[in-house]
Amino acid sequence: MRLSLNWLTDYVALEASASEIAEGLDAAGFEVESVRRLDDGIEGVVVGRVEAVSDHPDADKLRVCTVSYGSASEANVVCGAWNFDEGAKVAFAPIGAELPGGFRIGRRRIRGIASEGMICSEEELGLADSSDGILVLPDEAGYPLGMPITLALGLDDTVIDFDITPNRPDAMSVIGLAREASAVFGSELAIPSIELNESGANITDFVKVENESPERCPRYTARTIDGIEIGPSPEWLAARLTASGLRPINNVVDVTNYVLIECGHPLHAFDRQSLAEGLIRVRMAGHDESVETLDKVERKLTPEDLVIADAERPVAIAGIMGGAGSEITAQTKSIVLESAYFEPTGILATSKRLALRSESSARFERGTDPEGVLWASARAASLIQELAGGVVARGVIDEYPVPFERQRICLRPSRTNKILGTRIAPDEQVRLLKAIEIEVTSHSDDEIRTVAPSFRPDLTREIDLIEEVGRLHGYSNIETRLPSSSSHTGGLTPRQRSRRIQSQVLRGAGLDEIKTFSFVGPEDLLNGAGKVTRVANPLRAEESILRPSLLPGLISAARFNLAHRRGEVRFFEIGRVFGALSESGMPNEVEHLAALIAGDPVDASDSDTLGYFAIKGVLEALLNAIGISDARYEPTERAGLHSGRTAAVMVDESPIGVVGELHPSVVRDKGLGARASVFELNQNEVLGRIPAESSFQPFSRYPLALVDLAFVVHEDVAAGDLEAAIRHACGDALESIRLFDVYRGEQVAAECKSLAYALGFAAEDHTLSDDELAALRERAIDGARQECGAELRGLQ
Amino acid sequence: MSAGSEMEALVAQAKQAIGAVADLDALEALASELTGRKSLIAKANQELKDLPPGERPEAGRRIGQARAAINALFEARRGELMAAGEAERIRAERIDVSLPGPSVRIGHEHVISKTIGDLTEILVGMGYRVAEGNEVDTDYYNFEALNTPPGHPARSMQDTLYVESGRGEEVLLRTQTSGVQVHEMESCSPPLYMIAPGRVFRRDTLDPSHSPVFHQIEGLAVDSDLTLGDLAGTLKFFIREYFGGEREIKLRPSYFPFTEPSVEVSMSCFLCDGSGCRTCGHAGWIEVLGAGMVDPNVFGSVGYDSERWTGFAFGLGVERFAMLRYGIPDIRLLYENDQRFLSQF
Repeated sequence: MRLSLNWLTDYVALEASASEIAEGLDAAGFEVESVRRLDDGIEGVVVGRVEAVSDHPDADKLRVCTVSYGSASEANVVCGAWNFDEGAKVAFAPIGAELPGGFRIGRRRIRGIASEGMICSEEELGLADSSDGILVLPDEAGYPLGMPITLALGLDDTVIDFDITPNRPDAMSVIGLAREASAVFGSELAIPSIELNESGANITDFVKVENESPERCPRYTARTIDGIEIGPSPEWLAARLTASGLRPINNVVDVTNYVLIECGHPLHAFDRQSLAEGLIRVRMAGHDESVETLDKVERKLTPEDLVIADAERPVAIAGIMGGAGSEITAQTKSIVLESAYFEPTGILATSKRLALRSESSARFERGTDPEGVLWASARAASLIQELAGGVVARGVIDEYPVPFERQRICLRPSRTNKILGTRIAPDEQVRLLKAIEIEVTSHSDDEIRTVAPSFRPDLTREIDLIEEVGRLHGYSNIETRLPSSSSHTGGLTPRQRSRRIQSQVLRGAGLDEIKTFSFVGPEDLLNGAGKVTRVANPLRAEESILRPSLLPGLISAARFNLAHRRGEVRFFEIGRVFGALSESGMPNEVEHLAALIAGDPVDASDSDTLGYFAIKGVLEALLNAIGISDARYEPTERAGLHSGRTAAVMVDESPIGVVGELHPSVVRDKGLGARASVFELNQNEVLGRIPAESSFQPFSRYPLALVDLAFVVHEDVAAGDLEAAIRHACGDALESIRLFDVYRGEQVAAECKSLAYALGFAAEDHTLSDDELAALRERAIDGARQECGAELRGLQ
Repeated sequence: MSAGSEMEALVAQAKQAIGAVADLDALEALASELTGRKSLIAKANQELKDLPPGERPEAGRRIGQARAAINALFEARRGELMAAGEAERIRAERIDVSLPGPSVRIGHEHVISKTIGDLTEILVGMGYRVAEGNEVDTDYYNFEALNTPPGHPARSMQDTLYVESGRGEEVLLRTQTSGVQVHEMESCSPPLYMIAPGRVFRRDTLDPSHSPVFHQIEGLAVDSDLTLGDLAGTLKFFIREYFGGEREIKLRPSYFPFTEPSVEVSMSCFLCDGSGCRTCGHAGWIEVLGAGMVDPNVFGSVGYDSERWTGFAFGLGVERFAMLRYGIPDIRLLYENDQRFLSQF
């Protein structure tokens, strides 16, 4: 909402400066986006007249103009705009003039012709975001040549741009903001009185209104004005519309817009001659109906859309935009002036479906004043009469089957203070409410009985009044304190603490944490389009699927980095992933943790730093750090992973995740360098298995006896199984076991490998004797032989 | 030769031999030769028994003295040789101390996680516990229970991404973490002090200041006598903890469907201290979060008695806090995961 201060002060006398007004209204809840003098940066630009126009000898798209701008001053300028002819009055910037943005006009040559100034567009003057062609002043306006353009265009004004919250449709108007300003600055609000001369025949002779949808249109009023003369608006009106961000069109349309900005009530004028049978029918659109709106777009309608129709066809989309067929044109002589109250949610739905928003819909969808309909209509009719002539018909059609009932609300002053933490006296609360026209019917120290004004649809409950008292009292006057209750302590859950440890361990292992989007595209999925959950209304195909895994995001991030710098990337991410929809229609949402190592090894001879064991080492450290020490790794296959180098991570016979190298084709396609390995864990499984805080475990205080054993097993035997067999055979006396060598080659049989372990034995209460140690050694060997077919190396 | 002079000669010989030894290995070999089982001293000791009983004590004493003297010579020489060896090693092992150690790369926490962690730490210290909600939720929790029924104008403040669920527009990617409030209040009775950090989603195109995915932290306090003054005090404390003790805050009346009164909270600019600079758009103030007193309708939807309990809620954008604090100019940097960005935090 752009508010002209010249306009505002018509209704409320204010001593305050522009910035004080902005600050006061901002503190009352009307967020100020900007405060700007309209003539800001314009220096020396004057009214000029184009006396002669000729072609530029060396440029097809340029013309050379002679511009006079008062007291025998004349200049030749080269101009690229074509929307004017000889005799046009324009905004002329002679040499030395300055335009917004600090642009100073100098003498230039354009394609060989001297140009001694510039004919300006609205955009160049900072009056519009864009312009087609230059600004042409209306002929009728008798601006003297040489008059400062800031005066001619009424730019001696300041505009405050507000971001109005959706609960305050009343504040999307000059009067609404004037009312607030009067409350903030303690100055009287003066609303203009209306002098309307209804000298024509009875309204019913001109137009008939049938309202078939009173639920969607609770009130519809119409006036007619005959014999009007369409023309441009006077400068004061054009200036106010321009200041408010609207483009002047003609006197009738401009008046409806003026009243819209003035009181916040949208109006619409129809060319009465264009209405079949002089009928206005408020009804729902039919199937397959459409209407061409004022912006020359054909709009397809549905039976959910409310339209204003004549006897034959829709002539407007109610409350949103008029139809081109009933538009006010230069030839219009007679108009029907609509002032109605449309039900907000219906307007919102249609405007959203058509993606068509207007000054009008923005107000109706938030809720206009059903009781303000007639004032707006009379105000517009009187202004049209004044500016376009014509005869206003006697009376007004007012289809209003169920009159609006204003909301009665009771406020307990003590409740105000309980919510706000204030000590505002009941009388003061009454004063504040009255200042914004909330009617107080009776009040005591315990209770203030009020009736909310019809322009405040947001006031329905006690809490709504408390907010009004609070914001007018001023939030800066509220004493701050901290909650006094000491019955609560904060903290993280064990799960949240474990997640932090996970992050620390992974960072300690040299992995950077990344954050990727929760969406992926079909081509990002490693397993094609499996069971996934889709976004119903994605903006892009790349954001159409809820990520079923963190791997696509890690791969993209790795690819992004490796594309512009070779080397290694080591990333992890913790985040939610989504499975297929469950029966309830909700996707299965789970937190995952995944890591990736990829690229080209720093030491080219050592690609092991990127392979399965590199990532598995990180994974093992991670699991150990959070107390999971009994994970097993079983060969498995997974789409997108290397089938010979992938394992399911098992704890207590349940899979908690997967670890492996990416399939060479994925590594190649995604540009991940020589090798890439990943793991991905289901955090529900991981964090759910973290042992509760452990108690102290006694350990042997006697020397550890180390025994080295090398076993030869068939290639098919997993080291993990052999280790488990040895552990099982030795029992508690085995304090540690460490694999220190894996050997394949001449010294062992084909398809066999040698695995060498260092076993550490100890007893809790004595030093192991040689005999005991020998027995334990035999048990280890027996166990390995029986469970895995392992032979002690060297005994073959 | 008497046993006495024999021993003296032995010690003298030993002294000479020990002095001539140049390395520790030779010294130990010599030690074995001169004091070991087959040494002259050992032999003399064995022969004690052949002496007349009257001479034995004196001879034994002399042998003992000689052994002690030789051992002392060895010990001294051992010390000298070790010191010389170490001195030589120190000379030989001299290094360029400016050479780097073997690289131990430590990874970095993402700045969003870091910011959530820092903010959470402050709020946990203020007595809040941390709740987690789902990123996919229903319309009920994201809007309706938050006093935003269908057709409510506030819904158009946020463009929602919906999930293809076969249930129309009922299942959605949450547009705010505020829904966690409702889940938590449904499962706990007051008093309640909780925060909920998490991801939220909007149907926005990625540009320097918008992202379809971003993070919020929602806060909720419900107790028997909480006021707007408590909210203001809490936020002032919190903002000062994070942005510095000199920050002032300002509340502007605003509108959110699920709080009333609602406020938009600004803080005095931490770069220019309120005098106006580029970061604060020359306003001196920076908007940092939205907040308000919990709307009675929200309490109604979870069955809390709004006459007995009052509460406040606040919601902040994590990316906004991070971008302000670290001067990050473009939100896209946060999701691009460029290592040169990641390694800065």
